[in-house]
Amino acid sequence: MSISLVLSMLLALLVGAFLTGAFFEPAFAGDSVLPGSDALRALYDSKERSLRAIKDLELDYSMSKISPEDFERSKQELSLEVAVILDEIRKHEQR
Amino acid sequence: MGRVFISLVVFFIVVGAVLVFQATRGTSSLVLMPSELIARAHASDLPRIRVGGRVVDPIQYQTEPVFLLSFSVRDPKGGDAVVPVEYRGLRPDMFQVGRDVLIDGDFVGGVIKAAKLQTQCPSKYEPAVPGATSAAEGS
Amino acid sequence: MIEFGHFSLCLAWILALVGCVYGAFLGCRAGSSSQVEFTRRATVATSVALAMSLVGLGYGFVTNDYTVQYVWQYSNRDMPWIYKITAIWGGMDGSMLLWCFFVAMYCALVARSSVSYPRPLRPWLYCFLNSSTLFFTTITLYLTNPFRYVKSFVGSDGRGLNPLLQNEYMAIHPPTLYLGFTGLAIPYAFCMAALASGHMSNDWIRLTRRWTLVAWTFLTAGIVLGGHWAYLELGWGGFWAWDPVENASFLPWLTATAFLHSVMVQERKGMLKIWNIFLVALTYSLTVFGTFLTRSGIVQSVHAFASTDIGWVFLSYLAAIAVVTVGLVVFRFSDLKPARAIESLLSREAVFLLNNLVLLSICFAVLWGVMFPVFSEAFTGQKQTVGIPFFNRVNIPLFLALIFLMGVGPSIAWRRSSPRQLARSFALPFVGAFLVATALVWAGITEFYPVLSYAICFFVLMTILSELQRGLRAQSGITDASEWSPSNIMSLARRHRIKYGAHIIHFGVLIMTVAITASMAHKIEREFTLAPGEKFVVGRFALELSEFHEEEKANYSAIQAHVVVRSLKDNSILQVLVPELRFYPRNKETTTEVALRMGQREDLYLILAGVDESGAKASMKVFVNPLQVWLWYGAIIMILGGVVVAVPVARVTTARRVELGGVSQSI
Repeated sequence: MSISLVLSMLLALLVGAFLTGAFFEPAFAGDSVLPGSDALRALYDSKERSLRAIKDLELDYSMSKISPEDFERSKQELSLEVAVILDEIRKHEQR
Repeated sequence: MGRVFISLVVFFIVVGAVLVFQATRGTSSLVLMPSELIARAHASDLPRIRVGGRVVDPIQYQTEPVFLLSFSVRDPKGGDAVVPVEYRGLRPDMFQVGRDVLIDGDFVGGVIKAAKLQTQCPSKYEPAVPGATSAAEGS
Repeated sequence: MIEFGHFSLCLAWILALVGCVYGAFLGCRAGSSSQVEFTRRATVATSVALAMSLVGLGYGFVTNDYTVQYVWQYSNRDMPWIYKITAIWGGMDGSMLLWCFFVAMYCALVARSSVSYPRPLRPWLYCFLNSSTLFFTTITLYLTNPFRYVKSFVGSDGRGLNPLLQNEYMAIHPPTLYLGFTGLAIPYAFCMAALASGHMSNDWIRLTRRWTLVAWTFLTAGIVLGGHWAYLELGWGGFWAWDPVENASFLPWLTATAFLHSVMVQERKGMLKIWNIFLVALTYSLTVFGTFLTRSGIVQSVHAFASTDIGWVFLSYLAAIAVVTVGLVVFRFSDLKPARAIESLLSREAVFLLNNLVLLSICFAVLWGVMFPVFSEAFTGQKQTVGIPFFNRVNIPLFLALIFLMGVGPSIAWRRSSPRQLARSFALPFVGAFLVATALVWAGITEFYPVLSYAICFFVLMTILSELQRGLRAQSGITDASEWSPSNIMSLARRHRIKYGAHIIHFGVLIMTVAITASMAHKIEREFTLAPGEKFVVGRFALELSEFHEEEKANYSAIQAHVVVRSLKDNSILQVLVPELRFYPRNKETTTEVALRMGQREDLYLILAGVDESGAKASMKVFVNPLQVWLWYGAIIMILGGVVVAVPVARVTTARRVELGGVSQSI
């Protein structure tokens, strides 16, 4: 009984100290930085996706899963996409 | 493109539904208590039933010439209705008088011909009330 | 110490409540970073408190404290100490406590690494992480509290753990399974936090995928361990019975698998966003539903459901999950529009979609089978049920379709492919599969499904090998190494770890499929009675009973039959099998211990059914299960594949996050 009481109090104290410690921590350097507008973040995401699609396309082609014609067609489409997205990003950043 | 996909999805739902429906109709069995079984099957036989009951004395187990376990079950809640069971197979682990069992089989000529016999599965959690468990032990 | 355990549980409940409510509060209005840190610390502290709670309960078991109801019920003095520890999760109350601890532990792991996550996401993440812990600690505290004292008379000894659970698998199977189940709370928390905060970049989907993979690997291991335990211990010669408890673990596995495939489409094409959210939420709901199913007794009877509170609590929580998920999806609907559409039916994304449809069909069929007793009783008043034949009939064709897609998917290009290209890729595997089928029929195996299954497996094997070969060729074009040289294989594997990790998993599935098909289609089952010196012939073996042996152990007495296994070919002795009948006087239980000869070609599985009264004859049952051992090998390969995919993903994500952090800071 008494050992339970002692341990319980000890645990409560430790947890309490750990929690209040939060208010004595210096703020994290990266924490307060808000990463740009939602629109810009969405643009970065779609850029990442398109670049990934190009990578996949090249891999598929190197493993001869697609014909040269399909490869050329898809690659042109995707490159155009990336160009458009990069343009948009530039416009956003100039604003 | 979208239309092709919607029709694909619809196709899957239809095929899935037909499969499930057919399999259900072809394999489902009635779940009955021993008392319900007696009440329903005065004279006629009942194919494909599952009976949940409590094992009562006497248990007879023979291993020659074939494995045959004969016993009777009553409603787990009590009552006088007792149905004899014959099971062609191994006596399952934990099988004993007073234990609840699930029997899958056919009801033929007043006897349940069991195709499958399960005692309460150990990984299912038993009720935590001591009264309920000791009742299971005592009977 | 029991009070300490109880106190720790209460403390964990308070911490989870604080973390959940305060997290939501901070999510709605921007707080200071110390406040967010406070919530994070509450999340970590919850896991510590729950660990202490487990220690308290474990202490009760080790010191035989039979004033505690739960200890009295699941332990006794004769039990070896290892089973006293495993008895902690031997019953419902303790297993819920272990469950809580695992959820909290996962949450603490996420919280630990969450410091670098985007700021708007974090409070909501802590909120949803703690909401899971809060729900399960609430259940434990109010409905299944393991710290209750025995109400009236206290015995000097406990009732003891069910003998079937006194087994080393009890030490590893439930924890592994629970690690799988509880891990699925994390993807759900990420998903909901992303929706609530509106921070729906590619980050959360990567993190979600990583945690799903971790949980999926544990779940796979847990399910297989359960099957292995059933095979060794339950003595019916099989490993899977489509029991509600087994199905409860299988359902979230199916949806998690579906998610792991469809998430790749979202990563590349920005589509299927709502579908993936639905899958994550469904997976989490199914884990909750599974705990509900195995603990409420609803399948046994609808009336059992009505008589306990636990059912309503679970149902309300499931409803809450549904409402929150749908609400958030509607709230963020404009952000969830697909970025692209599927361009061609002949593309990998289309195959992944098909795979999702098949997996969900299986999930639906299993769910239907599980719930059929409930539905039929509710709607027709007459309870009906379905068993193994139902599940096999529905699932075999669906599984074969799934395995077939497993061969098609990885070998087809993203975006689009042409019929000519497909013909080139698949001509050889198809011909190979056809030849295998012909050879099998010629060899005398004529049942439809087994032949189809073997043929499909061969088809998939060929596609995996050709995929590897093409990858190696492309790689050797870069590195100038010869195609099949180890260095070339290693550099290919390093470059595309996830891709080839997935192939390892698929290969494991293939082996398991072959093993399951063989053990279902060609199993031999015989019953016989022998006197010492007599022989029985089964398969390639002759079994000869040599003698009986009686043994007294601490908590049971046993009769053993010594059976000499000889090869039919040259009459050489292969092994002496010792099946055993055990009697536990305390519980008045009789159990059988299976004797097993594992082999590459088949398992010989021997059960001692009984000894006649004169003690002169033994009745036995024998199973010959072909290729059974390959089921476990296949599972090990799958789990290894899971580890290969899950572990490096963790490193890549960290690297990417740093990179993304750099991007966001430069904006």
